[in-house]
Amino acid sequence: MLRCLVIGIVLLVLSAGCGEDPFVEPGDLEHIPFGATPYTPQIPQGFPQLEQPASNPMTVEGVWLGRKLFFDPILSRDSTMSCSSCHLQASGFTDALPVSEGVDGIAGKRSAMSLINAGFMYNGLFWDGRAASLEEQALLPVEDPIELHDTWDNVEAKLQRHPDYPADFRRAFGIRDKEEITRDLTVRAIAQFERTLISTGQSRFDQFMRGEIFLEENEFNGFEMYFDISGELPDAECAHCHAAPLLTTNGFRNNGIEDVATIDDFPDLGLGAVTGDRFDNGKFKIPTLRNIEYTAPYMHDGRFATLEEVIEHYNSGGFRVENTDPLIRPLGLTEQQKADLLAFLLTFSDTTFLTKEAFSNPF
Amino acid sequence: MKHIFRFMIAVLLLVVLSACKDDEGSLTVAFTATYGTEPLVMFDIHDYAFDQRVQFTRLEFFISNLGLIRRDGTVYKLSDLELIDLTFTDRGAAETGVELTYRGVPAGTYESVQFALGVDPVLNATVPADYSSDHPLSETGRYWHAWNSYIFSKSEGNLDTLNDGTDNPDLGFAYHTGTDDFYLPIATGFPISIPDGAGEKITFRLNYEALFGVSVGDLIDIQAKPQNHNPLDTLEINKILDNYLGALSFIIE
Repeated sequence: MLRCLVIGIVLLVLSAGCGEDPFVEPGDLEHIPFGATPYTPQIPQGFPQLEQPASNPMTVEGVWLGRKLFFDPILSRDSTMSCSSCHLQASGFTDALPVSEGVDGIAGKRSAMSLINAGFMYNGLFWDGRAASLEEQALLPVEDPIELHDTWDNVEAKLQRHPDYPADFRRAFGIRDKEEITRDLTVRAIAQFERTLISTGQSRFDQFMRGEIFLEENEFNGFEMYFDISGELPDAECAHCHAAPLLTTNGFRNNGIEDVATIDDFPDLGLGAVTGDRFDNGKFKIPTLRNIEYTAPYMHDGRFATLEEVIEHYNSGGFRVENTDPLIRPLGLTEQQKADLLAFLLTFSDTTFLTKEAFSNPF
Repeated sequence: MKHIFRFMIAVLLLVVLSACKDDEGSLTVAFTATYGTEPLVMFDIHDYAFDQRVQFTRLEFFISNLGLIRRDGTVYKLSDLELIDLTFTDRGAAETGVELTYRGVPAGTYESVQFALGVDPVLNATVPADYSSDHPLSETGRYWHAWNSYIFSKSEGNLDTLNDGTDNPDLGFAYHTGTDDFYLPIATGFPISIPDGAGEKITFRLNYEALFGVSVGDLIDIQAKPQNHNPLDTLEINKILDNYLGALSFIIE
């Protein structure tokens, strides 16, 4: 009797030591508790509400999984690149290159966009607006030959056989079997993480707008020109497109950077290639100016290396064709006024965002 | 079985009766843009004053408090706010314009249709962050933070000052209006009847040739002042507001 009891205990210990439930099929994850915790985004004063798709509500576990996936090169064909390779936190989630390069070293034709406040971009993502949501956007780079150049079938297989991800997907989405790891859940997790990339509200601009600090005189001059407040200083025409609080209106414009004879001659059609409307040719998404100090080079093709060059472009009035925004015109800013405007743009810097631990590489 | 049949007849009758509710009709309110008598299609080129040519690229405005004035002076409210975006690049859409249909309008004769150009002062005291992204007031590009006001109307385009036949206008223009001072109530002052169980339609035509004072009214010298979106500098804005009444017509169909 005693011998039977000892054998029974030994068997029990051995089975527990194996870490496998003898009644659980291979791949079965139901032994892992699932009870995803709703995630409450931290939104600065004056910002709009963050809208989450009903099909993808943010959870603590979903955000955590998305953060891991964002920084994990497992999404690329040769495991050398991740989302974070082109969206570096220290560079305001851009890559400091004129145009990004993929796993094959092939340069794309556009610059990596900043992801700050990406969750508030409801009017089309990418420079040409071809993705309607963050979820839809995250689907595309994996199979793009000039980006991660993998296949979703392969990525799904890699995630399913990974030692940790099946449990992470279980905790985030309640899957019961690792076979249920799909591209859809993968991009939902990434989108949840991206929706957390919200301004901290600690920039000098934000503090000034809340009435907590005064700006320096030159910064204030720039503020007046940016928002066209003063009758004495010229209107720099910035706020029409880079309106507060997001410092973008989420629209698409031809801002006069391309010297073309007609609207059919743009080397990159931008929005026009997506809509098929020739009057949208040469229009690109208006980027946010938050953390603009850290997101050089500028424009969709990274043609301007510095903010001084950007200001010079707008001061010149750019190139005019039929669909150039009418507010693109010679501004007549003096050297001092240009310097003041630059000083104001630097108040958009949110260094807390650039170093926030919750946005950093978890590995 | 007989009872089930009677029950089904009763349900059918109920459905039919509720669908044909007495004393209600619908009203479609349409807005179209014209240049003279022609539908105004974006990027089409039209003759302007001073031997110049003009091309419109964006036309939009808010209307507030759209309603029907009853004989006793009270108002049947149709809508608090609508964004009228007349930026159409094809002729068919420009001819149709923006159509807003309101159902369940009490049938009868009303003294007038009324609305205001602009955002009602109560709503104009809000900010875009107060609204969800599908609301027209959420768009920060339609708000002046500096002036705490929505932009009530935008009329943008290009002017060909050279008229050299190149079809390449050389000067952009943008006239934006806003702030409570420029909120403009409008009433047709003409009776309109909403028939029982049927629809009525009223179409408002905004003639931008007249709005810019080319045919009648105060002429906008675009070349001299191509931008006037600052409410502290209101010369052209005032001209446009003065021209509205002569530029806006309506037809009840």
